[in-house]
Amino acid sequence: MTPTYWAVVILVFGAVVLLLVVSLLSTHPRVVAYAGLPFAVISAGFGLQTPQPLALAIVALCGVCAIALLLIPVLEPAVPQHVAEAAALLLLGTAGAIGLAQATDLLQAVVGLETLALSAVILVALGAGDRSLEAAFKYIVLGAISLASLLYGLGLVYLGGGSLAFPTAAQIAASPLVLAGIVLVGLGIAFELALVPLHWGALDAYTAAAPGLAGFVMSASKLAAAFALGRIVLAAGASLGQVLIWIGCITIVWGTFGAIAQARDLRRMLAYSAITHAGFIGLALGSGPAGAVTAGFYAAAYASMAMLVFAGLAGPWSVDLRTIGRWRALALGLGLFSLAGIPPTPGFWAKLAVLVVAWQAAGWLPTLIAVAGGVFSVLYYLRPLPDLFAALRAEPSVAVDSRPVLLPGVVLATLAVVVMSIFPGIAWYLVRGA
Amino acid sequence: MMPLLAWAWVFTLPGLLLTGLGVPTGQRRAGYASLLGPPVLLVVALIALAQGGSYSVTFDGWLPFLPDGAYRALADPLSALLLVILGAVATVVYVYSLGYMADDPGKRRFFVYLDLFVAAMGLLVLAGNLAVLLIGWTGVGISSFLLISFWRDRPGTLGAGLQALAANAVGDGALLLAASIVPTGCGALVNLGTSQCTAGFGGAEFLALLLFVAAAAKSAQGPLYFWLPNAMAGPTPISALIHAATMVAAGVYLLVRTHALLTLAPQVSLWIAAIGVATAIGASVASLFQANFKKGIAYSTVAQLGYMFAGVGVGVPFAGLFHLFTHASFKALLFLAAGVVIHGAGGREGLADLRGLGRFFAFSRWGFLIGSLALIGTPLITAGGFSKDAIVDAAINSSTPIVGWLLLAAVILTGGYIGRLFAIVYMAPAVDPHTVHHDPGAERPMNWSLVPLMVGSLVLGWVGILWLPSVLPEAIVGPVATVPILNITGALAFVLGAIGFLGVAWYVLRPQAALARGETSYRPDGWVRAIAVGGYAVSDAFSRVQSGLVARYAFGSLIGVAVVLLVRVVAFR
Repeated sequence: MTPTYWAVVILVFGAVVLLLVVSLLSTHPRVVAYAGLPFAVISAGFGLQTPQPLALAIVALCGVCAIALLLIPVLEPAVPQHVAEAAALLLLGTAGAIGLAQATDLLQAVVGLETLALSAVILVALGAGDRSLEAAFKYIVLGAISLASLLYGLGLVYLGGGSLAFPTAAQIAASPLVLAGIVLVGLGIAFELALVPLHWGALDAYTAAAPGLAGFVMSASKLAAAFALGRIVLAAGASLGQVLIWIGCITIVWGTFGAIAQARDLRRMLAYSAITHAGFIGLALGSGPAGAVTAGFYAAAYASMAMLVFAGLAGPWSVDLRTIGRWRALALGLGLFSLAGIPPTPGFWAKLAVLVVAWQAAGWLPTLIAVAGGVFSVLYYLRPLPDLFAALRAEPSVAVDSRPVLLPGVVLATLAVVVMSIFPGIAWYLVRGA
Repeated sequence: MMPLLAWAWVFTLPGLLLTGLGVPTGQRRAGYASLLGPPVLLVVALIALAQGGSYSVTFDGWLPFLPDGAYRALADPLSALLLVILGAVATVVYVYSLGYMADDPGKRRFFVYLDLFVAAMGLLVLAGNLAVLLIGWTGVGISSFLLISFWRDRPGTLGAGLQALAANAVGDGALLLAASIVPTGCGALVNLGTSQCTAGFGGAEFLALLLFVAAAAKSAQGPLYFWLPNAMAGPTPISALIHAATMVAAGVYLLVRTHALLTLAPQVSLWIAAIGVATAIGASVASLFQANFKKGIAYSTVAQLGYMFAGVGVGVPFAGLFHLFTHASFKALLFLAAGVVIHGAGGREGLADLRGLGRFFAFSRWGFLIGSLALIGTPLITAGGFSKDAIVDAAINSSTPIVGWLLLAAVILTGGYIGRLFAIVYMAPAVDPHTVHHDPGAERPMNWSLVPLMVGSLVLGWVGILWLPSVLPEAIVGPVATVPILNITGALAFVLGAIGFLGVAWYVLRPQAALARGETSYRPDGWVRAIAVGGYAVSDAFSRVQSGLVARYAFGSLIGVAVVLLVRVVAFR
């Protein structure tokens, strides 16, 4: 058994323990959250022993899972009867994500993707009210379409090549069936990344889910899909890469314009921002052999900053930024700066890394689009700043939003972003090696 | 001192932390903890400049994904000179702000932003390669945004800040691109002109073009001028420090620093000169029609930056740098003098409101007069005379003498716009003297902080011709122009400036002269507004497509998949 398998086994075991043992002993949110934490930590330890680039995938996924677990205690008041389920699904979803990220053939990819996607749908549904139920329904329906694309593509690849292994460039050149198949497979996995034109469900789901869980769904699915697509593109070469480059560029443009209009709705803006960032990952994936590594690096950077933002927002679905207290306001501000790609934050390093490979492999036009999308994002990420400054001065309200119970999650997420700001080389080492 | 200077960007960070944490307490003493940073920076930079030499800090492998991913900081006479300017103007502005912001509830936040700006500007100047430069470059842009939008409750300030952010984003993008596309191993600013580094796409011209775009955005040149006049929405000390003396000069600094690359790119150099001249003339004309006091001075900054660009463009970066040096002093003086009047008039900035009020503030009146004389280039007794003449001379003696003659002719406009502002505010009879409120406690630090700038505006020219050539090696700033103490073009420039000054002053002081009541707000106008409105419209359309109807989503997904398949498998097979 390789360390990767151990990581998956421990997470699945943890999910079972949470559901069958812990949920009978206590439904106290903090108990459940802390009971799930060791499984994520041990799994991350195994991740460190896996070879690059998978090491970064597992460590980042387990980190995302741990932060999301720590945010469970502030889910909506309606959720606590399901806290054990929520925690178990976080572990299970992480296991599925690792399965997808490490997939070495198409069948493994399908199993991992579905484990992740189904967990994600239920996590979205666990937000309070009809809004999240509706979004979860859309997410599962549209997920089914992408699954159909994936499975159909898998069938075509098998038909044309006689194997479920990732098709090589030679196989693709030899058979149009394999080409069509691998494009369909790529689009199926692109649903997890939330690339245009498969972003619809994700956009609504990211908007409506409870903050902590939304962060997990966005980050984990991007990480897993980036690594899985990275392997597929490495095998398939430019035939799939070209598709990803242009889909990525369209996604960057779409997400940027979408986000600019969201002046009043921070959650919606963050959902569009997830689309834009997916575009950068798509562009990186298409940019040659070095691109796959860069895409993984980008996804990890995105995960750290998205989790930080949602740790800052955790609590009721809609939170008045002016009441969140100064420490959370600072954390949220750091997260937004990073999402905006302001140096020296992980978001900026990741963007630079993508530009380097995009210029070398994708050409000048995609690079220019990425530059434009990157720099103008500052305009919408900085819009909540006045409210955050108000929060810095105001006394934190006594409402749910500023309970100290949040502290561990916020601190862990802040730590991740700060470390990646000052030492981006660590993540780069985990994904690429020295 | 050079090794210490290489870390000068951290000097204001202790002040930032202390002030941010509320030490010392109380409104009156807010910001006291920050006061030490700039003078220390000034002293260290001065000693380092006098001692000479250079020192670089390098940490390899910091950003392993970049062509040059090392952390490189470089302290040499050029960065030392820029840090002297930064330290000196910042020291003055900090003291001034104690008075100007005395009663402002956001005083503490103001000093935190100031410290952040000085740190970012220090990093920008000390950057040894493109990666580090980017951090400082973006950092000053962000602190500029925060300070423009400082009074966020006033209408238009947030919009003005976002405009500055958007214009700077263009420059940041160009610099990002430059840092990403240079061949592996390149990125150190002093090496950009080597054959190894210009071997990439487009060669030296393309790389130089990217740096020029970045510089033009930061220094408000050419079509990217629009954000600077609106940046006057921020507090006046900010207009003096960031939007006159230091940050907007960063573009000139970048071009001087990389002048070796520019010599390999004659096309781009020509464009730099052309844009510089066009901006100098256009902004001077625009200044003549401003209804807002500070905007009038801001257009003057745009115009003077145009002179500096022209100096760099004709291949004499030293002349541009010299003008940057003297301009920092007299333009900061003009702004701070204006701020005294604006503060006394309760924060109003419209020329119609301020008409004649300047006569009640003696320090401000003398300060503005000295600043004006330096601006129009009065020879021998003011600093501006030497540096402006250096640029004009260099341009006339270059391969494109037309640049020099145009710059010379534009001095009459310079005299005109500054004469107009001086006449209206400081010479005209006051319409409503009762609107003036003297607050001695706040005015004292403001008045006294004008004095060093007055001295600087008078003597820095002599410093520049007697001392700077000996401390700035030719290897760093290019050929050192020999600046004559007085020659025919210098005298001609002064005569033109004086004619403009007196002519326009007479014109606006005529008894029957009506003052145009124009727009005094900071709303964007013209094509900037059109782009913004268009952008929002497109953005709105994009978000409308996301209708919430799952059937449409499904349809969109299927069509999308089909289109991708068709394009990839059928069309590009």
